[in-house]
Amino acid sequence: MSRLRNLIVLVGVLCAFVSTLAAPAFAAQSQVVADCNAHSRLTGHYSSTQLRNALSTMSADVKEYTNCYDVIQRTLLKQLGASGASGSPGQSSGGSFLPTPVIIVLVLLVLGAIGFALAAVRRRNGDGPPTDPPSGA
Amino acid sequence: MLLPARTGSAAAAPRDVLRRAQAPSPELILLVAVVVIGATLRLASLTAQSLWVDEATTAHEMHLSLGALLHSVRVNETTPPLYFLLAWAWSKVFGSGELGLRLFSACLGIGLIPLAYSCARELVSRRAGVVAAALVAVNPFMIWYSQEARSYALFAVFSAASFLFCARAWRAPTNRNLGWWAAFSALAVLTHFFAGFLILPEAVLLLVRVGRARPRGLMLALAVIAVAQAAVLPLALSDTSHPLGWIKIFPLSVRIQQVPVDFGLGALYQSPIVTHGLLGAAVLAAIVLALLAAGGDRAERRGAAFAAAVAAVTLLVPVILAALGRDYLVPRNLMPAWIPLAVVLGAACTVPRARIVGAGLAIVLLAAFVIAGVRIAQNPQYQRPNWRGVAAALGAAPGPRAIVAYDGGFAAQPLTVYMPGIPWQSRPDQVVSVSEVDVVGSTWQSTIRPLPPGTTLISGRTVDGFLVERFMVTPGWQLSLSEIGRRAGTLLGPAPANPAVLVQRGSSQAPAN
Repeated sequence: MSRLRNLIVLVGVLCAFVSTLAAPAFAAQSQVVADCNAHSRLTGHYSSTQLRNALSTMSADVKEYTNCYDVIQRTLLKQLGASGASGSPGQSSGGSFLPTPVIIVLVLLVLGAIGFALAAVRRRNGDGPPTDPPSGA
Repeated sequence: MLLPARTGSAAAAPRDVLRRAQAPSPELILLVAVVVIGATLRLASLTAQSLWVDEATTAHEMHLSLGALLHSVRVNETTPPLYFLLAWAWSKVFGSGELGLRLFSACLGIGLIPLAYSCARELVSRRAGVVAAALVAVNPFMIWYSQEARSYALFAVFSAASFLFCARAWRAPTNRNLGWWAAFSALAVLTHFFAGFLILPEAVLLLVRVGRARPRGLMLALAVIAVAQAAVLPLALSDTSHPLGWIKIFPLSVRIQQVPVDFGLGALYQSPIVTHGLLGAAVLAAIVLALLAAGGDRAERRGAAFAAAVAAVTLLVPVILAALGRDYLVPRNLMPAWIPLAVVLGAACTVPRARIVGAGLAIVLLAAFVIAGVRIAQNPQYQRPNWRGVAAALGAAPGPRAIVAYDGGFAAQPLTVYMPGIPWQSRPDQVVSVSEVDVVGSTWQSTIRPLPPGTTLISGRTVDGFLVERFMVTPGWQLSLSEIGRRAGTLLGPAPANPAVLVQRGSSQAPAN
């Protein structure tokens, strides 16, 4: 138990360490983007004009490496929805690259495989000697 | 003397034993099924997304001579040259298009599935191996990099092979196991600089295992890896002068949060869910620890602890270095930790004394991976930017035209790959004469009204978040590229400070689709 306790303490210390890592300045971007980039969410309140401006001027690397495009777009769409506006230019035209039915079939296959595995292993362990040694060299 | 014929159950019993001995084990059948599923997920959608900027650079480099390729890797790339050399040779056979280049990574990604099985089988059990393989097969992070024409799939395979032979050498430090470990570790080092963070704990564990004996085989293996490290050291030192400053634009704390989300849910790190990444990882770690502590036997716990120790060092050393100022931390660079983590998860999901809870955890993890994959597949926002679609929207050019891309360098290189007649590099002060100016912006931007005199909007189309507008300018513009970029702000706005400006000579040829 003391090992487990030590591990929990270690994880706690690491989490605290991570949370104290300073966020660098992000001067080149708008205040909205800088806020999102520093916190992965918006901590302040911004007008829809500010949000729209942030989306339209957001650099490609911020779009690529953070969640800011999604976060700001969701906030803006929420505001637009609340104010009764309709239509959102940010909505993309869709384009699934793997049809959902195919994915569902694959999921069922995976789940079926797990079930089969459990049943087969249980049956084998019940019938015969255990056959699960490490392979060695 | 005739022996009485054995009939009934007495005769059937040996036949059953023989049949069972000859039949493939359930785990092997499952592994084959998992590999088929993983291969389908990787190959069925291999060219569904466009090449993005890094892949476009790879595609461009595949057309260079071998000498020019090596020069380009040294000057432009931030990884050692092995992937580029292998991809260059591969492209001579399979081509340098989307399919040809990505097929190399896809084959490697498919090969990673049985490798994950072997690692978990070596350290824990066959059942854990099947679970680890299934996790690799459907994981969106692994699928993403199996479909990317960059070095990460090769990096993952060499790292996994290094880990496998380290585990074997840990059990039996024979020259053969140590030799393979050294070979794959050296190949991993020649593929990516972060390989060292995996090999470091592996080497320490092996040194601890052999104690004071220090067999000659291990010393030789370490020497081989050291030579490989020394060979890439000059590249590593010069690469620190490369434009890697973009990494530090994003706070380290945010990038650390992204690691568990990217590892588990792939591109959904671009969604608000990223803020729950560390909490989710902590909860998962607690469940795994509890399962292993309560339900695992000693040998399984030992194997899982070995994998966990390797994964922990592979993840934490780069974080500590980043905090100390040597910051090159992005989730994909930590890829070598993925297979050891899959081994730990496989062990937890198959503990003998808590099978139902373990199976439940496996189903939850697999379902989460698949749901994330579906979300990514259904939302272009989480996919690579659709530059191929943008190129199609731009269409053929009747005469010379300028294309102003508001996403800057992220747009320029993919568009150069997809559109004929655009040079790979242009000087901003180059003066050109064009009668058409096309602007590629965002759907959150809008056409400036009224347009400048002599400007006519020919067409406007939206493509997965991009707004593509074509303008005829009369009289034609005879301006430098940088000035054209500035003036584009009078057509579509608000405009960014540094757009990319490409010049396409007249071409009746439609962009590649």
